[in-house]
Amino acid sequence: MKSLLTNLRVFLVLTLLTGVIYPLVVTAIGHLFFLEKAQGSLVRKGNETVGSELLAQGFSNPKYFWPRPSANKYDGLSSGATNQSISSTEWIKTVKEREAQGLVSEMRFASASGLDPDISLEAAQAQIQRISTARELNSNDKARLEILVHNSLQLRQAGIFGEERINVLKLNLALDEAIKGTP
Amino acid sequence: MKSFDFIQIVLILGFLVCVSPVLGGWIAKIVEGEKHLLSFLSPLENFIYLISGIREKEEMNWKQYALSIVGFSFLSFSAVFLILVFQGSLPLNPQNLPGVSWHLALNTAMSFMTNTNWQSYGGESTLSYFSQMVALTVQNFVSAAVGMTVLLALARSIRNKESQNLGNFWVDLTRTTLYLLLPLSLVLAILLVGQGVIQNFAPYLTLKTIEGASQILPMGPAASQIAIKQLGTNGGGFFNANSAHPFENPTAFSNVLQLISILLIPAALPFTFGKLIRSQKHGFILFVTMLTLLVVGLGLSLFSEYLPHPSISGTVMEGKETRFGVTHSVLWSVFTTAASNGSVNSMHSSLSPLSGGIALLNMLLGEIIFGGVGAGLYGMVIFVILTVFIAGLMVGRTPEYLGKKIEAQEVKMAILAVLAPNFIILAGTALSVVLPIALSSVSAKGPHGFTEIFYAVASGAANNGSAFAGLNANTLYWNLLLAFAICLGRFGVIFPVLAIAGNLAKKKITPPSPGTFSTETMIFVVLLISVILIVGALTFFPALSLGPIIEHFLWLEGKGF
Repeated sequence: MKSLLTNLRVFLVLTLLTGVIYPLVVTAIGHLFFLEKAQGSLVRKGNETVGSELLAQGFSNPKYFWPRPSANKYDGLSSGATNQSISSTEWIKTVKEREAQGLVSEMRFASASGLDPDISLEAAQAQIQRISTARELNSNDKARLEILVHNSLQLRQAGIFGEERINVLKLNLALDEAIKGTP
Repeated sequence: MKSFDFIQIVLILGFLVCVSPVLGGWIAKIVEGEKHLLSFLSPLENFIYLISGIREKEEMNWKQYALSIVGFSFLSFSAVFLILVFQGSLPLNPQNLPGVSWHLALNTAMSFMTNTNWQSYGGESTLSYFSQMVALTVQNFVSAAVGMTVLLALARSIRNKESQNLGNFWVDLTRTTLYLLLPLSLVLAILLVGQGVIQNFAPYLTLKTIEGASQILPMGPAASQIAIKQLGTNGGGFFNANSAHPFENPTAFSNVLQLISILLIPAALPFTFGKLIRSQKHGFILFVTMLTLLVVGLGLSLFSEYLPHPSISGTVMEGKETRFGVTHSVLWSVFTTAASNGSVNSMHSSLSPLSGGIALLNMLLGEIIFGGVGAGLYGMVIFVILTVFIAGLMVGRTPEYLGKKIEAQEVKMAILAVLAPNFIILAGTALSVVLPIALSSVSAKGPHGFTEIFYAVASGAANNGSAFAGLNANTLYWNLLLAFAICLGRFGVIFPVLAIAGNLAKKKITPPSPGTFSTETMIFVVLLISVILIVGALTFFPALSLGPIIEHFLWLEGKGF
């Protein structure tokens, strides 16, 4: 009985320490040093918040760059993947269909989170023709778009870690900003 | 694979190998109550003892120790269960999420109380901030600390002679939480926020995209939970997609930090153990054994994942994130299943068949390749006892482990600790492949469907918590079966280990003689690995061949389901 009471008391103290004080301290320090990031790396256009740098949006207009396929239609409330086996005939069929639509490299595969904000350089370059046509760009603007894509490439962190990638939302914002033929 | 991939792997493994002895030595100081870097926090430690009524110097025998663990775990379970069921009426619930079903609450409470952190739910759509913090974050800390206490009791039983004393559960629990888990988590959480992991209490944000569509961004105190989720080998994600979610793991740096954190404490503990039992060589030998198994598994998994797909060109990125690519995804899948962590940054169900199989095998071997905080090493000691026993049989001598005679009672308990989780894995899988109520949750066809079931039960019983997530586990049947498997997998090992500790503590220490089989040599590493693989293979080879192995060969020939 005494043992149970001691357990209860130590449980309550540790709950207060690890479940209340600790998260509050992290929040306080996080907001002090990294306010923007703690709040979700939000992206603004003028006064409007138009998204988070970290979460993909389901761009489908041919005038914009598209993100990778999402298992749950880019729903912020249900992240997740298809969980399909790569030996599944149904899955192979889906990938072949995407290839037939002209999608390349990782654009053929649904991401793990369903909210992957990035695509590879190759995947972005493959979309330039479609965007140029949709925006009726002249050859001069198309060349500028190619440079824009190239300059948007984020390199490996510290030159070593992770993969090279392009953030789709930031690229689309830069695209609206820099290239004529705004939708 | 490119040279970048090799460099990253070498850097990450190299860091762990260099840091482990240092951290391990430091942990030994903490738990022994010696002076250390954080001793200035000792007034807080004493204050906790004061208000909880703990007498620091009072030691427990194995039954008292086990009873305290049961009492503490029961309180943990009840608290999580009640908070989840009644979260609708509790504060910090800006989305007005309702209480969860009783069987989901039961499964989640069992899962977090035992350091398994299997998740049948999606965090962002199911749990309030209050539930995440006060119910789950707390368990992330204390369930890891409980694993640690069992290991400490075992270590003391080997060191003490003709004694009943195994230390004090509450003191071990407090010191582990206060000096080890909290400071490391605090540092990691801040580093993660710096990379973009969110940490706030704002309601979910609804906004209009530049295309004019509507988007909802989930929010919450994520970083504080994710730090301890990795350091405490927990693995329960704040969001459904776990560490694949960009808010949980936004960059390659955050990925490296989390990868290292998964193995950091489990890899340091062999050195702590070595210090505590006064045989640093034996601690090192255990570390080498674990590292060898890890690296072999990693090699096989990388080999398989880089095999070209027979019918699709280029790199297969299904269920992987662009910023991580293949190498970081495979590294994670091996680390997280070796270490009983269970978080994911890619979807294991969409890995190549053999890579998924390695993840499964890591769990089936008993979560001893570093394993959970404390749990991995006391699981490994069980195999050490078996190895010493078998070696003793071969030379016809009473086996000894670090001067303690290993007799019938210890071997019986060791066998029990090996059999309990293995039995529930095989029986649970067998039951689930014939019951329609279980099969209705399976999404894949052919051998992959079987692996979904096998993986789920193994993940529960081995207290890992990762998933072959094609399986829809939030049903009455799966919630209850897995809760049962999780419970048996945890306490079916802890009780035998503590019983062994109780026995060993009572024994005399015999000085080593020329006939003693040394547990401090490389030959012992080879023997130990053989015993681990033989036990694993004899138990699970038939089931593995029905799942990942046959799928691998069919896949290579381009045959699908």
